[in-house]
Amino acid sequence: MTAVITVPRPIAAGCEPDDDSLLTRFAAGERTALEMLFQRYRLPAYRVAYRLLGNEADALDAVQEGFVKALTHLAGFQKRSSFKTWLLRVVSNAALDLGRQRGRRECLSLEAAEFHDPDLTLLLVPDETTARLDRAELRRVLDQALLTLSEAQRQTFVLHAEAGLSYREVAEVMNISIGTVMSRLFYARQKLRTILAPRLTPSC
Amino acid sequence: MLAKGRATASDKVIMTPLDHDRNDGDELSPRDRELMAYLDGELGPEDRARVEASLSADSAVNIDADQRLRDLFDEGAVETPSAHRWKTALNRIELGVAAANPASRASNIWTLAAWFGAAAALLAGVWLAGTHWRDRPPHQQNPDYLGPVVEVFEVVSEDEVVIDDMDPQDVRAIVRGFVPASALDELFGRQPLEVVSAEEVAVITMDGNDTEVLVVGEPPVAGNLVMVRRGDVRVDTILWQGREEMRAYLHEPEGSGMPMLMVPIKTARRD
Repeated sequence: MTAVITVPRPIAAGCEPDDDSLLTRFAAGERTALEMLFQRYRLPAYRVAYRLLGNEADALDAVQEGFVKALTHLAGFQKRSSFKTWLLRVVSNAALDLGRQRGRRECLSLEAAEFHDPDLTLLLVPDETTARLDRAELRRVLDQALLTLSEAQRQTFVLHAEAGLSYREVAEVMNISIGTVMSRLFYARQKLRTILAPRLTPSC
Repeated sequence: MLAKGRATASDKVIMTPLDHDRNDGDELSPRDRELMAYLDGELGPEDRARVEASLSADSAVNIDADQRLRDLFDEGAVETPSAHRWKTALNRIELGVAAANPASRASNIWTLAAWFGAAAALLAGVWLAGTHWRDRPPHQQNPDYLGPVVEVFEVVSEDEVVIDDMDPQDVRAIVRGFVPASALDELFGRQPLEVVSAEEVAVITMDGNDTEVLVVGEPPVAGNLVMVRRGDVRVDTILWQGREEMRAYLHEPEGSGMPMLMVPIKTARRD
């Protein structure tokens, strides 16, 4: 059997191919096109999945599943939005599905969190400052705070804050209006500010 | 990241009355909407200047609190996986895309040829094994011994395997191989996937979707594994070993780019 070795094409600086041309090349079976799409969007996809799932292994699973689904269901994409928003829609939905399958807690009420969750109770101790927390601990605290949001609020917030999507892009991803995006972001932040209040107090 | 100023003039938010989201509580006031869009960098230059000119002491307090929330999320930013994990993820995506595209697989004449070649090799192996039966070591004269470590793993779809029972006490294995798409022909015929012992792997995750290749063998997992098909085995129930998130074994031999998924299962041969 003859082995075919694919050599990546050199790309001139400043001439990054756009998503459409990469998708065309991917459809033609060019392996490097998939690799470039992955390099381009793996980070926002991972950040979104991580914030929705709370750990690296599950987040990577969701990213993998999202990429596979997005790339094998391009007919559903139909270029009504950008590939980025299409991909993030699939990845975030995959992450939410994975979270449900693997028993991630959902919709923990603030009251329940305050009185029943020792971690979140700790989180409300006023004397603690973010300076005392290392980054891993802070991430855990933020993840738990995010869990107190409704699924819709959390997805909206994460798509905006972690993937850097504009209101319009979030609206496209979630198939909701821009006004709804703003509303969900507003109430998500309001709730997060309440829960994270001890961390948000300026240290002197 | 929580970034400001990402919007362009053409992308600015048109300040129309809010679409009420009944699931999310009360309607935002126009002023809340405006401040929020300002902070998120969603306003065009004119609206942005107008909001800045109208900021009062009260709204400055809100803006400050909002900014501290953004800073907190920046401070606790998600860490990036290692290059090795990214590479593994890409390999899995390539395999997943290839597996989800039956047209390309069916059209791959080399794959079919590899299958025919593997079948011919298997028949030849059986014939050779028969002729050399008497020369085999005693442990290999057991009629249940079907061969050495598998040389070819058959990739089967989830619906080809029934999982009814899993018992970690009976260490056998489901192995899932991930290889780069460029090595698919090897997966289908030539290069054996590595089988590892339970000590070499870490528990990561397991669900029915992970069942792609089913291999049964005696402990230790390495060695004397045989390939089986759906008709050969029945697996009854997944047990979680008393842990909320009992996970399967994911083994990623360093530098091989060929991670393996392996779970302890109890199998029973079908009658």
